[in-house]
Amino acid sequence: MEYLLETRQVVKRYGAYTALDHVSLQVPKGCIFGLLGPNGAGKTTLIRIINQITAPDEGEVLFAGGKLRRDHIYQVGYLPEERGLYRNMKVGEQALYLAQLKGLGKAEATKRLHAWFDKFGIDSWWDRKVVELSKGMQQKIQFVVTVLHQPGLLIFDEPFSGFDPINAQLLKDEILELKKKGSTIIFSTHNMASVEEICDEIALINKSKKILDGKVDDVRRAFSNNIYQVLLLSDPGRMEALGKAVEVLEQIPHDVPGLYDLKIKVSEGEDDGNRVLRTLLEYGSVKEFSEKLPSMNDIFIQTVKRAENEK
Amino acid sequence: MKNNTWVVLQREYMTRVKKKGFFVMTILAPILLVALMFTPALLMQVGGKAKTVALVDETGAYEGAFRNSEDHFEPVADTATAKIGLKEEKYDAILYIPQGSLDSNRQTMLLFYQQNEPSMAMVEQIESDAQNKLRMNLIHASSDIRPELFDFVERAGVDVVTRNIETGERSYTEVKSLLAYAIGFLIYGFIFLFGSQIMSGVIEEKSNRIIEVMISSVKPFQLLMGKVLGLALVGLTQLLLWGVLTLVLTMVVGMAAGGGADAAQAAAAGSMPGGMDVNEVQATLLQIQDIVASLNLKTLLLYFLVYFLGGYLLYASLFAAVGSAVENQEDTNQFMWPITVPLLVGIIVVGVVLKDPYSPLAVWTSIIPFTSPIVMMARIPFGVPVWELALSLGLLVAGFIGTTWLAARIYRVGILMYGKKGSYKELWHWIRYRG
Repeated sequence: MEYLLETRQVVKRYGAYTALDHVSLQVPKGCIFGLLGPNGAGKTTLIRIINQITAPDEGEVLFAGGKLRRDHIYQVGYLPEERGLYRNMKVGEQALYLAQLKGLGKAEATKRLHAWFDKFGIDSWWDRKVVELSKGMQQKIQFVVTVLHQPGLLIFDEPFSGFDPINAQLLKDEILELKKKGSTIIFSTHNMASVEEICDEIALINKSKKILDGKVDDVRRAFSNNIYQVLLLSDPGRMEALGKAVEVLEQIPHDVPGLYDLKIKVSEGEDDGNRVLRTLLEYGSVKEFSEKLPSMNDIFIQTVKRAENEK
Repeated sequence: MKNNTWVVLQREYMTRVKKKGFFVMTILAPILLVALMFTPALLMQVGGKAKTVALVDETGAYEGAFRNSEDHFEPVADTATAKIGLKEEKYDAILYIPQGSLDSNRQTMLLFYQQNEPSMAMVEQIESDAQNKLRMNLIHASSDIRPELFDFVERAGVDVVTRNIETGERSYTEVKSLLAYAIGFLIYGFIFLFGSQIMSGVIEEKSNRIIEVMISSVKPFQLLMGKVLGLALVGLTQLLLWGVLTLVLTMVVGMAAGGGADAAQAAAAGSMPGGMDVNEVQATLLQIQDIVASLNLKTLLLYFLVYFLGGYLLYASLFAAVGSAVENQEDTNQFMWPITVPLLVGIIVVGVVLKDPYSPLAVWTSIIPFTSPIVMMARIPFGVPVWELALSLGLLVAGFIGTTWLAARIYRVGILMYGKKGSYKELWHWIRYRG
């Protein structure tokens, strides 16, 4: 597997406080990588190390196979969680300034900016002052400036905060579009629903340590607690008998008579769905049958809590 | 990468130069300066503050005694008329010279006033002028001196001129003192003006979280340097514009007032309103030329630029460091005194310099970098040994490299530190952070 970014045993201390404790991550090229963790876990510190805002005390960071160098920052686009603009600068000037700092020439930056602003319908705001803009518009400008220099690695820290649902969808589409064009994206968020929706891989950091990582599907499968979601056509008598045969966690009669929504737990070691299915066939006709994988939200909470208890 | 300092510098420069405040300052300051230069002359023309005194001279012996006075003495026949004039505010005072014996060497005069008490200076001036006239009258009465000789003696005067024994230059101590103060304050003012602009810029970036966006593309040191150098250029631009505008305005106003030479002469001759003959005008002009030559303006200007830049660079990054340690303007107070105190000491020492430019206090504060930009500039018009200048400049360069290094270490941590109230202990930790 080709990794665009790799951190190896990265340690960062601030005085007596350890912000990152031997954190190793592999971000494959062309994926959307979710960097998860509670507040104060060390995500921002890690992002700052990748952005070369601070240097690690121990360990190393590799970019495209080589040691991270200063000129790599031109290949990184970073949208921080806390983001601001100069309030009294004009939108166009401001965007040009930030683009120039990323190494773009003035003419090229102007051309690309107009194209993006057109796309987002904010080109008419070019000569307006930032202070006159709504928060959503400012967010759009910040997004454009982050991706304008077409970096190989994009880092979005809570990109959806402050966006209304329509603009959040617009942004989500843009992010997926960027992935399609070959960008690698690190995505830091608390919004677990969006993680399931767009992330390919995740790493979970808690209290300075990485406690979980892998492909989203693999992680969810690993956390499978053998619960199956079933839609069964049956009758009250047989349903009672079923309750004795298997462990039914939840049983909700459907609007249609005889139809039941069931959540069934299969005991450890019998994770073979076939056996449950065979049993079920005796008690009614199976309309739907699927394994109920835990949500990222559940996994997040469960893992973090377990890590707390170990201490 | 190296371009980023330049990109930051351009923004800092352009946003400030395009501001209305910059424009207003640039236009207003030369106007004020030129106004200040020409006001004495203008005031003289319109009568201005000079007082009108009714002169009731019963002796008739003091005619022309006060012709060189700043105030205007108007002969009035009797005290009654003068009193009416005083009541009508036609006169500011009445000088009554009662009849006495002509050969007495004492004369009592009465100075009546209504609202504004005459100043000591005015009384002394009258005494001195009248004494002179009285002495001349006594000589005149008891000798048959020739009228030309009498005039000659009456106009006799003394000027004390200070002159350097080696170069033979005249020193013009009063002009130099004034200049020393002006330059000292100018440097002090500029450091504060531009330093606090840097500081509020840093606070804006930090509190608006612009810094978070910036910092992934530009190193904190580059950002700091871009700001410091950008503002330095703003300062130099302002100075240059002031210089040019002042020059142009002086010429324009001078011409409007009837030829530059006349205007300059009128301004310089503020204290002698009466008849100035051609010789006196020429003498005044020569004197101005002499003053300019003795000050060595070109050298002075060069040193001003060097010390202005050096002093600015020494303090500018410190202002930035203070800005980075706080989240709003109000919190800056606790960190400001290390900047304010040395600058204030500098200004206070300028007073000592004026009394004795070579006293140990003046010498040492003009060598120590934190006060040298102000104190040394005040000393330069009086002449400073080369080794002191070299040491002072060398230390100034070392000083600003040192403060910039220190400030940059605070700045790089401070700009990203939120919610933590900075303290001196905290700053010390920041300085020692790695990477």
